[in-house]
Amino acid sequence: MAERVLDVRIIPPSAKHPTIFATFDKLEPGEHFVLVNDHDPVPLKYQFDFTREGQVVWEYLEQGPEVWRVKISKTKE
Amino acid sequence: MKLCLSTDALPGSSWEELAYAVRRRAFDGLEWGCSRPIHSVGESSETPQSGQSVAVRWVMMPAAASSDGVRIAFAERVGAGLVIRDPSGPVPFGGRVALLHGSDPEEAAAAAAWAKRNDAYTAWDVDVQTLDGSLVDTILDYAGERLVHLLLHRAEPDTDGHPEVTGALFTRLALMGYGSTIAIVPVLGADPALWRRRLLEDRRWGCQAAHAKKSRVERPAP
Repeated sequence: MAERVLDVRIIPPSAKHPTIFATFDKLEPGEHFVLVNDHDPVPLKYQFDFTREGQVVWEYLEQGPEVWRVKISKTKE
Repeated sequence: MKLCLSTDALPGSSWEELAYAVRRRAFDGLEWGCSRPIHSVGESSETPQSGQSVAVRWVMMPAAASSDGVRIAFAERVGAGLVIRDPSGPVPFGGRVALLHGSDPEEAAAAAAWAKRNDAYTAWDVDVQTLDGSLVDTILDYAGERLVHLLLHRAEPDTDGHPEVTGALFTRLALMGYGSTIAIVPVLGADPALWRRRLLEDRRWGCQAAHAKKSRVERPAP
């Protein structure tokens, strides 16, 4: 399977975070996807840390200035 | 997934403006829409001022012009794929050919079957306002790995569709490892000024929190 990439830059703001969480929740432990965004998704990371504590590994692959890419992994159980 | 910009989003614009919009948003390239004429096979895909090239990923064929030789030759020259609407008759083209279908599962299945028979591909013309969200999985199951391009209507800035449907579609595409292109395309009757502003001038959309904050800042004082 090709790399799983979720580019949310053109998704309406109200649907961005729900889409990202829905994608994460459908991952199996040990799987990941690459989030592409047009700003540093720091608030999202806080939400992940709060709502899915201990389940997420957050790794920046690219940090601007136009695009941020974050590898979001679900930890193995 | 890789985002592209349809040239239909900036009708009448110069090549420099198109290239600027693509680079500004870090898109993967252009989809050459039907409304943008191709005057000659040698039409440039370079930006004259900067010298930086912008990739043309797909060239759309007009509804009733599958034998448009200039567009076909142009697609070959710039290394783009060709999106056709009419599968009848041979397409004299050496590159990738994708047959366009809508959001009717039977139509998608027929397009996928044609693509399989002809060693070709499919492209999905999707308007999230009219897409039945429960059909997303079915259509993508039919298309499978033959699906190589989406024409997405009512992403930004035409956002009067259903954000939850857009979200479900993107989630499924991400999880299936969809690695090809998605072009943002204006709906019929879209406001060209709104698109120009969004693509050439506005700041980024941001997330919901940033959007709400920005709205508060921009709200005029009582």
